[in-house]
Amino acid sequence: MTKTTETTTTAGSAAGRASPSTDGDSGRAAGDRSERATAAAGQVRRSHVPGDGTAHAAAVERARREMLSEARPRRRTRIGADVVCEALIRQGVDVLFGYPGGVILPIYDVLGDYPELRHVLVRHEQGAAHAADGYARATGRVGVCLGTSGPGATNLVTGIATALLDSVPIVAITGNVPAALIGKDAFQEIDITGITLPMTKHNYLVRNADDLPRVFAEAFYIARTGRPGPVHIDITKDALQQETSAPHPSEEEVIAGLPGFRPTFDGHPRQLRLAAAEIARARRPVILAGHGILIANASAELVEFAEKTQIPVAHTLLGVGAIDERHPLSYGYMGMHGWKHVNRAIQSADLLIALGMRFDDRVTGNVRTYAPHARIIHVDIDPSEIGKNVAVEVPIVGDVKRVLRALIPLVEPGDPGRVLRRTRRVAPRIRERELARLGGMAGRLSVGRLRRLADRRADEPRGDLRRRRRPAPDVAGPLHGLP
Amino acid sequence: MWLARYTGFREPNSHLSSGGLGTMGFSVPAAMGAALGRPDKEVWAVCGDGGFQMTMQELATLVQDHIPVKIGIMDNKKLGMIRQWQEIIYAGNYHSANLLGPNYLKLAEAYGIPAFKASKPEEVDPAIRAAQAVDGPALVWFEIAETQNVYPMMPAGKGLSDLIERWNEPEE
Repeated sequence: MTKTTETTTTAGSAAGRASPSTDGDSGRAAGDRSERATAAAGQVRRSHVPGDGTAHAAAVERARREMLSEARPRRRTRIGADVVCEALIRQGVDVLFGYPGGVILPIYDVLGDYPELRHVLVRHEQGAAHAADGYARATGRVGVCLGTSGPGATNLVTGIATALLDSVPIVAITGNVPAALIGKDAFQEIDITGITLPMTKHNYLVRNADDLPRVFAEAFYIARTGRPGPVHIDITKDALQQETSAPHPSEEEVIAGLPGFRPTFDGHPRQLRLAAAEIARARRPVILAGHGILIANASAELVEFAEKTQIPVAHTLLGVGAIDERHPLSYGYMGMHGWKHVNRAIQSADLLIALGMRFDDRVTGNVRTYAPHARIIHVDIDPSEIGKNVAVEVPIVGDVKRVLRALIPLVEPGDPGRVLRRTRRVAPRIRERELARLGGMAGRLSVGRLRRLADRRADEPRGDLRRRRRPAPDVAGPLHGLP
Repeated sequence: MWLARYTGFREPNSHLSSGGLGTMGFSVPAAMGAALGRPDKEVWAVCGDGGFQMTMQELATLVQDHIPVKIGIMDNKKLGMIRQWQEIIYAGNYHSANLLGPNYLKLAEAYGIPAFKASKPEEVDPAIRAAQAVDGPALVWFEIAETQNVYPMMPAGKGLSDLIERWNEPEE
């Protein structure tokens, strides 16, 4: 019953458009309808279709259905846009953020065939890039954003640059004009790979659909491996529309195809021994924990290392959360707007143990006056960070989780209370005094009051992020390829 | 900055900041992504009135896709960091630091987002609770002191030992 009603109602719109052309038809249809209404008296709903039930109405309905099935054939060939969707699914992507436009429409044409992919339509491409970034930071997985050529692509740029400076793994996909039109200032054409070259970890311009499986597998691998970062894939419209049967490569094939990209994960044993010796000698050491701790999922190792050595942990802006701020060895936020006691401790330290941080100018201030008495151990997975902003005594290139695991057995247990006992007792007092000052701004709403939001949330039970993380399917490994 | 200094975060990846590039307008769209990636968590986008106005068009996305982000706008009707630098380093020459904003309650209403306002300390808790009780996106408009600065502060080019603190300044 229900099915019949649906059929007749939809057929009505097609027949209704055609009927006004001849008065005779309309008259006949009206007559038929009243007869049918009489016959169907007592039914739930009468049909609005002129001439419903006649051979004419059935023919109109048949033609309409055929037209629709031509627009979206059930069985079609595999095109570049399909490869993009397949690759995203293989990489474990469940949500992507984007905005359609002329040359990216082939992807939007097939996106509906891949219900595993949730597309969130943003209101500006910058929002898409930031959302992919926020997704990546919160989950540790690669975030994906999508935009069209020209303005769509340039609007993504701020978000891509943000991800680069904060080492966030995202893959940004843009369409570009057909390959034959590149360089002709075609509508919405811009050399976006030229623009993103200095602000991505790697970028691609794909002109052939056969290249898409390899490019996507490489892009995700590069984005999340070693020091994470944004990778941009620009695809010409014709590559998105070409038929292709190119298979997706395995992760082994991807790695074999990137002989120049071999990040170092394990710290050099000699450097680790040197670091342990420095730590044994130090009287006023401070650990500087950065974003690398979060990226490498090394919070547990950081806490174990700090507890064994009894060295306090200061953190950078992006290192917030590396250690529970209520942990007795958590010292606080360092740098330009950092806590005074933290910066004082750094300035008087004789050893800085920098873990996954990069001595940003917001952290050091004037490098000439920074930590004048300190020797420095610098652990970073990116060798280009070593010695970039400050000279270091013990450089260790490696994944901070693996380095700490290897270092913990080498260090001597620290004497609880020996190191920085005085300042550790001072720290909570400084915090409370400052918060009291914040709350007292002439009775106006101030930031100190807003801290109550955090207090309430701190009462929640703590969860283990790693256990809650959904298993990544297929070739998508956890960050740094660690177990 | 306030958030990073005073919140007291306890878990990894619970505080997302565009620290390296210092991108304004990051928080609302990034919170959108975080909320979809971690549906088990309550996600707040805490932003200034300046940053919020840079990407506030994403309010529509929150509604269309039912993304339960709570937004807290710290509205001092200023570009606060600019004002602070002008006060301390540029001898109080406050050019382009005043920032007109909309009525955020009406703005949220226009998008169909429940919104709450807190201008006095005692209004903070009820406003936050009301936003938390909403099933879906919600917005809280905190009208804060216009001259609130971030202290201590290390002026650019100076060292870590040259921190500035002026806690007891008069308001306005």
